Amino acid sequence: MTCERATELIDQYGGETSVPPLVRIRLAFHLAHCRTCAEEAVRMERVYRFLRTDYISEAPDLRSAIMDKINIPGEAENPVGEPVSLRNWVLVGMIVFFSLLLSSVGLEFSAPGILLRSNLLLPITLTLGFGVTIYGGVFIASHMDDFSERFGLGPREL
Amino acid sequence: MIKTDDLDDQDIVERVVLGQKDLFRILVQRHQRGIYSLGMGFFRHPEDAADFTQDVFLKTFKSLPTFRGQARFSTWLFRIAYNTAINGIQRRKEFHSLAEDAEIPDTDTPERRAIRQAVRDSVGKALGELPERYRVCVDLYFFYDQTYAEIGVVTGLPINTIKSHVFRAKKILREKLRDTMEGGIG
Repeated sequence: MTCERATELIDQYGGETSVPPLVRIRLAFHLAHCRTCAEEAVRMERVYRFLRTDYISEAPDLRSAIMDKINIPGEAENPVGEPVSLRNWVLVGMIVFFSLLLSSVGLEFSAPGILLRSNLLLPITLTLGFGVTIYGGVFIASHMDDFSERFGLGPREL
Repeated sequence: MIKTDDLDDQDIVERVVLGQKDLFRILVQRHQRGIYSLGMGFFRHPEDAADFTQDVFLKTFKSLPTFRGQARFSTWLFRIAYNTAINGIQRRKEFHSLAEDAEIPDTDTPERRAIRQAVRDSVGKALGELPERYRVCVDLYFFYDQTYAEIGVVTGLPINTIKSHVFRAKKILREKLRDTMEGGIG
């Protein structure tokens, strides 16, 4: 390996913890008999270590300020998994219901009925019922706490 | 009783999520310097950087249940910080590297002084050649101990591009050090 190639590898892998084994062996072999490159490698490793340990400036201690904010009720509640708001649920429900209802009066929907000479009232009713039941089930399940609080259904205090 | 020093970030996150909110203080203690420094890079003002730091930790706390532990906690935290900074309405147009503003302490040995000077010059030069959005990558690599893959996670930029920019910065740094320094570094 030439010194030029060794320097290139020092630049490429300097400061790295994961160096491919073959590269490590080849570089170690070169550094073992080339004092200039070995000094360069050591120097750069020291520089990288210095940059990572001694460069970031001091920061004010913000622990108390941050913990105070976190402890304010409502300030740092976890938004993940929050239920969809009641208003949005009702809105989505209305859209789903009317979509299902209106789809039954569409020409494309009634065409198979005419073609098959059969009344599609039963499948339409089943589809509507299925959609509304699923929606209602999910709606109630996801708003149990809301409903309990709203209608006073929570556990009684003894 | 378990010493908090024995707990790694992942352990603390799990305990905080399970209700031990006070342990979040340790995460703040461990990482506030890095986040504050990054804030200084983006906002250039101590008060803005402090507000930014608080904002980042508050967002982090809220999002803790979504932390899966696939990356280091610090990487995940830096990602939140980076996105917060990028989306900040007060953000200045350019990211300023730690190297550009670093003061040289009087207590530094001559060797350390030389390194700081060389770092300032070379990182500044390397940054000058970089597109704005890649500047933070060089800082994340050199000063914040982030790997290429982690920088990719934080910034969403392609790893190979990050590698080539960092490689270039390293090369400039080495050449600068060779020019300015004689002998070893103590």
